[in-house]
Amino acid sequence: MKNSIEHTKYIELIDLYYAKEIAGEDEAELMSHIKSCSDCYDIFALNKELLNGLEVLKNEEPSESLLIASREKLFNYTAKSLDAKNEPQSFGLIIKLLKNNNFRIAATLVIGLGLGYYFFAPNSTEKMVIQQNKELATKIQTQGNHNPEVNSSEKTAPAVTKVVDPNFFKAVTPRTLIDEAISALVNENPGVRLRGIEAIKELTISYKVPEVKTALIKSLASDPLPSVKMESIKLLAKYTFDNEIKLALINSMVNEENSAVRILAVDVLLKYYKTNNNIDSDIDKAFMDIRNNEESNYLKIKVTNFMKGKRS
Amino acid sequence: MQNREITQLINEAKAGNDRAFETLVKLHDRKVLSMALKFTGNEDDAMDIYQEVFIRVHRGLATFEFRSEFSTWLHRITMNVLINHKNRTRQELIPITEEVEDDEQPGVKNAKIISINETPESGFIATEKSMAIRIAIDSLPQQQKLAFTLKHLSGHKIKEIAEMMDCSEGTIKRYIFTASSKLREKLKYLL
Repeated sequence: MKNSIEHTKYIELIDLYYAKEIAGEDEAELMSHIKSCSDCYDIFALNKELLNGLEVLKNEEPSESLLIASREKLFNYTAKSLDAKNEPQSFGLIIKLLKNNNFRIAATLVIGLGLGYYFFAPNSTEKMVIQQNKELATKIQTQGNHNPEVNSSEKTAPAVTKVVDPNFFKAVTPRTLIDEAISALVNENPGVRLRGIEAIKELTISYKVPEVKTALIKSLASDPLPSVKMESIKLLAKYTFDNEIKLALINSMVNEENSAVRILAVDVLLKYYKTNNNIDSDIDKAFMDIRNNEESNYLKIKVTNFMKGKRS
Repeated sequence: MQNREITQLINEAKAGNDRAFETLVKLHDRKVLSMALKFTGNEDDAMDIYQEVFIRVHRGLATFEFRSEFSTWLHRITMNVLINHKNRTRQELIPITEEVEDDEQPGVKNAKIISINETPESGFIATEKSMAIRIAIDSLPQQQKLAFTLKHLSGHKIKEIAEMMDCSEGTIKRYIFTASSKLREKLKYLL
């Protein structure tokens, strides 16, 4: 190929031709030139092949699950940063008020009265527990409202009914809340199920309750909402890894329709697998299955690379 | 959605209304994610770029003064993030091979590229040829890669790319021209 100035001009025109940004005289001149110049004709043909090869890449569009996962991650981040931004502002206001003499006198009186009430009022601990439970209930109530998978009518549905009943707090124990959360997980309203998940997340004691684990495994296997399944996996990852959890994750990795859920299941299994010196025949078999049958290339490559690394 | 409504959303988001910010993101994010996926060729990197772009938008919104369209501002941020992005998983795009026994000569092992085609869900690399093209595109300098992918994968006009990348049309043409030459050279064995 001669790299003369004349050829360079026509090669540029070829690029513009395939970029669909050439018309009229230029196009006619190019066509006439490639008929008589075999070098430029070769480049013209080569460019066509290149652009044909690009067609597949051109059709790559983000999957819905990738879009949802990206949004969820972003909104979690922005919500947190908003909370952090608000904190110093409230501190700033308090400091400003503390500099005011009248406020200081009033604050001393209020604190004095408050301390008196704290020490002499009956059942202050009980009231604190009730307050904490109310706050928890509010938090549970709003869970799921940002989730695009939940319809607007479902977002306004009552959460765990008893949790919002003021009388409920008088006799509440963590165990009662756990039972409520477990029953929420099988509710037909997806908003309520997400609130149940949130309740389990908040009640750290729930990680010691076997019924919660069973309920999460059930949710992972049968809940129609990918968000519930993903949250179930995250919560199951906090338990001591046992055969029951392993089989549930393998089942999800192999049979789950949603790729984001499958990816998360693989992540947790890989973590376990590595800490267990890469020895587990069930996981080995399932990874082979992924290598041979998985639709998502991301997952296939991830597992294949891991297996390759393990062999070497 | 009309410009007036977008302006209102921006003002609300600036005032700290996270619902308004979320709506604003949802109006534009599919395009950003699509651009990122086409630029990087893998979901992990595309997701990283998505986060980086919208976190910058979130942080910078307070200083946005409507001197340009919101979409133009967003495009500029996206372009900056794309140009400065380093693929963290490029090695995953190298064809993966495994040893398979030769059908005609038992005992003889051959290297075979594991097929990673037929990807109805994610639309990832569908053939070994397009995988080689993806690797070649990845090896281009960032500006050329960006101009080339915006033109040939996202289907933008040269004028639009020039606005997005804040360059002259002549510069964009030169990027695309150089990128095409390099790709032809790298891939001529395959095409």
